[in-house]
Amino acid sequence: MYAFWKKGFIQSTMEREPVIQFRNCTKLFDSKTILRNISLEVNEENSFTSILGKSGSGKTTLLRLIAGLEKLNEGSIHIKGKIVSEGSKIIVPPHERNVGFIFQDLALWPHFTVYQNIEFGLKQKKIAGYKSIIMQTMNEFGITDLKDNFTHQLSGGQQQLVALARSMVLQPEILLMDEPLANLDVKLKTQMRKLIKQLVKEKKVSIFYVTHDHKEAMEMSDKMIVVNEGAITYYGTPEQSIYFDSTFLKEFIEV
Amino acid sequence: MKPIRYFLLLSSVIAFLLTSCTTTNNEVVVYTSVDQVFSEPVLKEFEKRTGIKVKTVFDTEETKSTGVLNRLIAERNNPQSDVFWSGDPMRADVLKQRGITEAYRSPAASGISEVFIDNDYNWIGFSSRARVLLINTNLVKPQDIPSSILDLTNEKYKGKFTVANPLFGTTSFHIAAIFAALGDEKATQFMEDLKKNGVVISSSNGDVKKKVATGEVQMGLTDTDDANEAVKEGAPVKAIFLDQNGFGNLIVPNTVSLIKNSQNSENGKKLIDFLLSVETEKMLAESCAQMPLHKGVPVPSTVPSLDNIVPMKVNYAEVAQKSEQIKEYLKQWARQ
Amino acid sequence: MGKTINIKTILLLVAGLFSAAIVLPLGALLFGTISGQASEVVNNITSIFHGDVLQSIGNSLIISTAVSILSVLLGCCFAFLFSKANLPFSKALRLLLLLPFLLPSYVICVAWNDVWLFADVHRNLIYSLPAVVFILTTIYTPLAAFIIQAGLKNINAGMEEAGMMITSYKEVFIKIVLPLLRPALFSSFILIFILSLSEFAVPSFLSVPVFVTEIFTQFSAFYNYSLAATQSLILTAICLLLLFPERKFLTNEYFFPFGKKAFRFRMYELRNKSVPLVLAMLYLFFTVLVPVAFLAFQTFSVAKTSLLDIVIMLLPSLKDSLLIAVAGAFIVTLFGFIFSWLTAQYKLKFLQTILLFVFAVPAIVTGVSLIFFYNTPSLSFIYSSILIILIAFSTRFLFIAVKIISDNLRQIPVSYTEAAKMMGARSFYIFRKISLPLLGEALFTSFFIILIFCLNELSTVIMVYPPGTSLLPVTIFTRTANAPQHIVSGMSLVALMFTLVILLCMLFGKKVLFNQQWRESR
Repeated sequence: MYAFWKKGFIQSTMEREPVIQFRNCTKLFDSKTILRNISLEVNEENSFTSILGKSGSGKTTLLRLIAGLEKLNEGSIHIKGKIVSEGSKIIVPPHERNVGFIFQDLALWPHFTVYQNIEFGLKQKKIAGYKSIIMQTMNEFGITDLKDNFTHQLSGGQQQLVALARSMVLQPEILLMDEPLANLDVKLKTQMRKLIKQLVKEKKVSIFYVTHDHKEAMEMSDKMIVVNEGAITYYGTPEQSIYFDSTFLKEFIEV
Repeated sequence: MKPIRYFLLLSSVIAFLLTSCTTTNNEVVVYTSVDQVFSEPVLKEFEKRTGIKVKTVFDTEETKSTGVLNRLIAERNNPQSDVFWSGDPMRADVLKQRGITEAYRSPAASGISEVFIDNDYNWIGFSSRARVLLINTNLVKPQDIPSSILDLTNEKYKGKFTVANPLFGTTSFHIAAIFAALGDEKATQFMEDLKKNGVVISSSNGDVKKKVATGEVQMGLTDTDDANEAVKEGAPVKAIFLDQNGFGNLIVPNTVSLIKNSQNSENGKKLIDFLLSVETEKMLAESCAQMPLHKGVPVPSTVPSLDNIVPMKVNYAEVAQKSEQIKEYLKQWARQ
Repeated sequence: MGKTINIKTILLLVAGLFSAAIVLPLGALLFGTISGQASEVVNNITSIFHGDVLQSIGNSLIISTAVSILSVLLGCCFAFLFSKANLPFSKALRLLLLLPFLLPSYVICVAWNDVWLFADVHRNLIYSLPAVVFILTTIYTPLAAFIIQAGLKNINAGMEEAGMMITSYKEVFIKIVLPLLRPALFSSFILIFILSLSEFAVPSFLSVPVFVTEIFTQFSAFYNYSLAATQSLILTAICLLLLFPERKFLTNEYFFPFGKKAFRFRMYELRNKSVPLVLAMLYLFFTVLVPVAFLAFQTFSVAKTSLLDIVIMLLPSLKDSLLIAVAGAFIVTLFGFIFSWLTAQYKLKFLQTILLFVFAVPAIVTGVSLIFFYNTPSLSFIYSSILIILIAFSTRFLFIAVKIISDNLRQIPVSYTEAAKMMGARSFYIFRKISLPLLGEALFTSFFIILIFCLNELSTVIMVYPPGTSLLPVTIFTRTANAPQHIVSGMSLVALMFTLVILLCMLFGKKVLFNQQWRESR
C-alpha cells in the first residue's frame, strides 16, 4: 500500500521516473561489506554521470549492480521506476534491463571479427534486417573498414570504438562504462571523451562512467557520484563539489 | 541444434561399440593362464571343429596370473567364465578351495593317470611341463652340472644360480613339492641354505631363462617351455632333469576346471573334453614341447617323454594345499 | 529461461550419474573394507607396522620423493632450454624427450636391464633402489617438462623485463620466473609423486620391495583382498595428504593472461648455445636413444624378423585398441568438459576433489572394485561389454582431462561471458559460441593426451576387459612371456611407433585446425 502510494506520489510530482534508484542497498562479498546501506536517485535522463572513487571503494560493484551482474544482499534497485533487483533476487535479468556495459578490458571476443562482435547481440534480440543496422552503426563509428579484422589486430582506440559500437547497436537506454579509457594515451582520451559526449546528445542515452580520474570526471560529467569505503560521500554537480565540506573529497580532488 | 547432433554422435559411437561385441548364444568363455602363443591355436582349433565361438581372457605367468585368477575369485557370485585352463594344478586348487569350480568327470580323462586328477574331479591334469635346471653351456663344464636340486647349496655354485620368485607360478608349486617330499624341517633347512649360497631371485621363469641365456647367471630353475624357447632362440643352454637317481623331477601338468554356475556349462564341458583329448596333447607337444599324459601320443623327438624321465611321486592336490601353507614363509624368504 | 535451466539440470544429472558410475565401486570397496569384522579391520590396519611393510613404505617414499625432485629439476631445465631459449633443433629434441613417457614402463625397464647387462654393470647396481629412481626419472622427466613449459609460456615478458632493468637475468630467473612458475612446479611434483608411488612394473622387475608390490603380493599370492584393499586405502590416503595443499593453494590461482594484446612472450638469447645443446643431447642420447636403439637392435639383430609381420600379428589388437581408446578419449574429454564447466558455473569444488581421490587409487584396486561392483546380474550388460573399459578409462583419466580443461576454462575472462549475457544470450548459447571456441584447442589437446593414456593403460584394463576383445597393451604383455626377445622388442617398437603416429596426428591437426588468424599473433 505504501509502495503503491509512493509510486503514485513520485509519478505525480516528478512527471518522470528516476533513471536509476537505489533504496537502502547493501552488498557483501564473503561477509565483507562493499556497499553499506546506499540510497540514491539519479533523475536526469540522457545525462553523463561519473562514479568516482579510489580503487576498491566499490564503484565497479555499483555499476555491476545496475547491470544485474551482481546480486544485492539487501535493498532494491529500480530502473525507470521498475524494480529490477530486490534483496538477493535478480528480478529483471541483465539483458532485459536495456542496459549496455563496456568492460574495463572491453571483453571483445578474440575469436570473432569486428562484424561478428557487433552482430552477436542483434542476433540474440532477433531484430529483423539487422545487417543494415550493423552497417549503419559501423559507419557512424567509422569502423566499416575494420569489418573483417580480428579485434586484437586493432589499435587501442579502434578497440574502444568497436566496444562502443557493439553496445550502442542495441540502443540501450543506459550505458555503463567501467574505466574504458584507462589504457589510452592523452590525445586519444580527449578524442574518445568528445565522442562519448556526442553520443549522449545524439543517441539519448544515460551514461554511468566509472573512473578514478577526478579531472576526467569534472570535465565530462553532468553529475558526479563519489564513493568511499562503501558509502556515497557526494552526489551532485562537479562545480558544487568544490564547496562540499568533506575532507576525503577535498583530498581526493586535490591530489 | 548442434548439441543434439553431438549427443547423437556420441550415442551412435557407443551403440556401435556395444553391437560390435554383442553375445551370440553358441559360445564358451575360457580364462587361461597359459601363454597366448600356445593356448590360442588350440582354442581356435576347437572353434573350427565345433563351431562354438570361444571367448578368451588371456593371462600369463609373467603377470603372476593376477588378472585371471583374481578375476575368477572376484566374479564368484556372478561367474562370467565357463572354463579355467590353468598352467599348473595349484591355481586350480585355489579355486576349488574357494568353491568356485565344480566337479566334472570328463570321459576324455579315462586315459590319464589318477595322480594328475583332483580327488573330487574339480580339476583334471593334461599335457605336462617339467621343472628343469637350465644351464648355460658356455659357462658350466659338463662335470660341474648338478644332478640333484640339493646340490645347489654347494659352495661352488655360490651366487651363480637363480630361481623365480617362489610366491608365484610353477616355482611356488615346485618348492611346495620339495616340502612335501623332504618334510617341512629338511625343506626349510634347504631353503635357508639356498639363501646362504647367494641365490638370485628373478621376477619370473621367463626372466630366469633370459638370465641364463645371456650368461648373467650360470644356471636357473625354470619350466620346460621356457627352456625350449631358449633353445629355439639359439641360446647356449641345456635343460637338465634333476634327481633322476633320487626323488625324481617335478612334472607340472596343465589343468582344466569347470566353473560353478557358469552360463554355458554344456559348451564348457565340450571344451574340457577337447582339451583333455589326445589331439590337444599332440598339438601342445608340437608347439611347446609339453609331455602328453595319455599313453602312446606321437610326439616330436625333442619332446621328453614320461617313459624316460623319473617323475617326482607326489599327490598333486596335497602339494597344491602345501603351497598355500608355506606362502607366508616364502614371502619372508624372498625378501633379500 | 526455462530451457536454459533444463539443459543445466540435464547436465548436472548426467554428470551425477557418471560420477556415480566411477565413484560407487570404490566407495563400495571402501565400505566393505571398514565394515568387516572389527578384529580383522584392526589387524589389517596394524599390518603396516610390521617391519617389512614399514620398510617397503619407506622405500616407496624415498623413491617417489627422489624421482619427483629429480624429474622436476630436469624438467625445469628442459622446459627452459626447449621453449624459452633459442636452442637449435628444440622442436625435434622436445619430441625425442617425450619418448620414454610414451612407452610402457615395463618395456623401458627391460630395455635398461639389457643395456646394463650389455655394458657389464655389476648386478648389485642394477637391482637396487637407485636404479629404480634412475629409470622412473627418465620416464617422468618429460611429464614435468611438459607441465613446466606450459607454465613458462604464460609468463608475460613485462614481468621479466621489469626485473631485467634492475638486475641480471640469472637473478631475474631465480627471483621472478621461478616463483611465478611455482604452481607448475608444484603440480608436476605432486603428479609425479603419485604416479611413481603407484608404479608397479619397475620396482617389481628390479626386486626392490615397495608398498605397491607389497599390496600386489597380498592380492595375487595370498588372495587377501581385505588386507590389500586396506593397504591401498592407506596408500591413497598418503596421496591425498599430498594433494591437499595442491587443492588448497593452486586451484584458485589465476595467473594466466589470455589473448590479451599486452601479452608478449620473452625468448632468452643464449650466449653460448653449444654447451647446453651438447648437454641436452647427451642426456637424450643416454636416457632416450640408448634404450630405444637397443630395442631396435634386438629386433633387427635376428635376420628373419620383419616389422611388417609383427604389425600384421598385432593388427587385430591395434584396431580394437584404437577404436576403444578413441571412444574412451571422446567420453573422458566430453565429461572432463562437463565437469569443468559445472565446477566453474556452480563452484562445485568437491567434484574435482572426488575425481582426485579416484585418480589417486592404485590401478589394481580400481580394477578389483570395478569387478566387485559391476559383475552382478543386473549390471552385467556393462560388465560384459566395452562399457566397463570406458568406465575404467574414465576412473583413471577423468581427473587429468578436467585439470587440462578447467585450467584453460579459467583463463577465459569472466567479462567475455558477461558481455554476452548483457546482450541476452542464453547460457548454453554463450557456452557454445564463446566458451567452446575459445576452449577448442584445450579440448583437442585433452582428447589426444587421454587417447595416448588409454592406448597404454594396462593395469586396470587387464583386470576387466571383456572376453574376446584384444587390446594392444594386454596382447603385448601376455605375449611377452614366451615370445623370443626379438619379437618382444619388435612389438614394443610397433607400439611406440603407433603412439608416435598419433602424437604427430595431434601436432599436425593442431596446426591445421587452430591456425586461425586470431590465435596467430597472440
